[in-house]
Amino acid sequence: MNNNTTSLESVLSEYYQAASPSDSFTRRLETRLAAAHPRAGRVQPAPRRPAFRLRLAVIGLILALSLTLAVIGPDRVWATIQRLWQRYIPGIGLVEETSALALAEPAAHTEAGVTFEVQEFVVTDQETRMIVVFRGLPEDAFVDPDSIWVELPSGNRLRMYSASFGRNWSACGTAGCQGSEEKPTEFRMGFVFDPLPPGEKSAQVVWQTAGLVPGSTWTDRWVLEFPLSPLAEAKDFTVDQLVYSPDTSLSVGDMTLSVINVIQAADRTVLDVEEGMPSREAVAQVGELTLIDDQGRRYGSLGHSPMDLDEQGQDYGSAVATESTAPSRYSRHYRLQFEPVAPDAKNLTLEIGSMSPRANAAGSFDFELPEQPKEGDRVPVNQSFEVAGGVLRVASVRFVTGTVVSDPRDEPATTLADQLLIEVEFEVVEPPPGGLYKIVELKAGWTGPYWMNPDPPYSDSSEILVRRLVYDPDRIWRSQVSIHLDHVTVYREGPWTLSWDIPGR
Amino acid sequence: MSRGKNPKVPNPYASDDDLATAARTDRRAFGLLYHRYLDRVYRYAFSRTANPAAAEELTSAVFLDALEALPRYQPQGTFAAWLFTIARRRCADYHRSSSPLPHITEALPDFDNQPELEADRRDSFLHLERVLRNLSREELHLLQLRYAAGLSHAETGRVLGKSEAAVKMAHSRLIHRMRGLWEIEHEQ
Repeated sequence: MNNNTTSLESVLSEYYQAASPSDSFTRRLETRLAAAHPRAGRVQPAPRRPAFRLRLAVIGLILALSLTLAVIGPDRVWATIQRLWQRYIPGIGLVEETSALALAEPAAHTEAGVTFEVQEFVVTDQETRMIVVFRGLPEDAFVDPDSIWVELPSGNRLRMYSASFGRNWSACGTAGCQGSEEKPTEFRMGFVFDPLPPGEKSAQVVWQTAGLVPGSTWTDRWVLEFPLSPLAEAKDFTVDQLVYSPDTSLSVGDMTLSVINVIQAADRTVLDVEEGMPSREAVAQVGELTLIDDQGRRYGSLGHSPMDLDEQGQDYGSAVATESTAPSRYSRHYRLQFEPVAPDAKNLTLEIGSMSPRANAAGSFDFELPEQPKEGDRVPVNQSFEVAGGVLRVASVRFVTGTVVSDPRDEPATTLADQLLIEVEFEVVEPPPGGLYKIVELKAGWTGPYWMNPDPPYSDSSEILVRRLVYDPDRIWRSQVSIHLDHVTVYREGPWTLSWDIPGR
Repeated sequence: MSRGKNPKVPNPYASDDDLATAARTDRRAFGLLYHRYLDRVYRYAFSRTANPAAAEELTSAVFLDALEALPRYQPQGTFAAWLFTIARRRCADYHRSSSPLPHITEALPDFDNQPELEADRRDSFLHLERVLRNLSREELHLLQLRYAAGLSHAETGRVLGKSEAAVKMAHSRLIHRMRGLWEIEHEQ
């Protein structure tokens, strides 16, 4: 390979790699995909509904507010009071009651055995949230979120921010659909749009049926038009709820975990949690989460998978890092959902099994490639890295062979055996304080993501960590190789606990 | 923050196939695949459109198509080729309604923000584009799959419906011819 070829291929590579997706697009698409995933928005089994008295809750809340006012001051209490004007609508989330408009009754259209229903439609000055339900569609039907929109009188459409998708088999009854020949499927989709223009008192929702209705064409449209009323009139709020900010947090190494809001509603308990970290990449894997009350009762999870919250505490269905007020800290927000808390509970504890943050290693080491690398070749490297307060040392770099994930889709062989790999062995010279090194992430200039997955074994122990990179001569154009030590995951065993008193109990 | 034990957090080092299988029911697994391939899909789309907005639109469409088609994916170690087959189809649809042979230098964002660093780079890109103008659409596509999508010869072959050997040969000949054009452009 002469210099000219190297230069041409380098420029080609640089030319075609020059563009990158913007952060905002990346996050937007991530949110959209998370929402579009068939598991997103899956309807949970109905939890038990405890006897929960509104009067008790209100009195308790007043007592709690009085006490809080005395203890932590009026500003923060006012923030809490503001939350009292928000209502938790199942499936919609927290909504500002005073200024919102809503659909009074579900609006629906049925034709050829298919029903398209707008079940919830709530407009605030920040956004428009909508839940639509389809019945009678084939079990494997896919409703494209872009086929549904809110159309304004001008003919323009509201901009959509996110959509979630779920299926519900509840029509089979509590026994489920097993054993039943018919499996009626209900599709539920949640949308977030821009707010309606001020003064709009009605809405028009359009579904382009895209051939999903028997006898229809691809471009057939169903239109539902309905009036909007002030939320307080439109919604009969029978759901008792208690909203408060326990202001409790813990620190584990560089990580902080805080419970910001608690919503104790009749159908679920919602915890809004903030995770603080030193960098965007340092997001922690968190072990099992358990909610326990002062009497030792444990409340089951209602699907608190990682989710992002906007500034109003609404669930957008994916985690997005946001810069916090402190200059070098970042925070992520999550909503955890558990079964409803018993009315006689006085105290709650969130127990976290373990926390494993990713530490930025930001180190690299270089070595010269042997002229014709072969299995057994060793490369001398003597370098140590300080990561998260501990020390890792490159104990050896050698060429080994192994099976790698390969391409041929239609051929019998789906992997390539006996491929040359670069194996890097790290010795734990000093473990990080209070934890163990768990995963070392390596990057090298020639490795695309596809090639980062040679078959295991990766052997991780408290003393030695091993990682392998595929040696791909097709993509290595220089004899000098640089391997970047990207991130290291540090495992910290718990349990870690966050406890708080329930106001008014 | 992600959950630890129940359900199991997808292993970020799992193979594409393992993640693709898990992603049918676990959106976090799909998220890992998304992050593995986002840059490559976007760059491929950008290389075929030279238009950031169109590249975003196509990238979105590719991942949404992939999400929908995932239950039909047969895990045989061919996820990248499968994904870029979707991307190729989407981009082909785009090209039916747009001009061919895009040149991306002018469309690169922030190209003028670092003039002292970017002048040489810009020159070499424009130089390269003069070479690319001499290539056929198929030859350009081969380069886009190899360098923007980062596919191996075998993967490129899968996407184009050719054997690995045929792609290797075509690539080698193409680079050889481009080298000649590159030298001529240098001399001018």
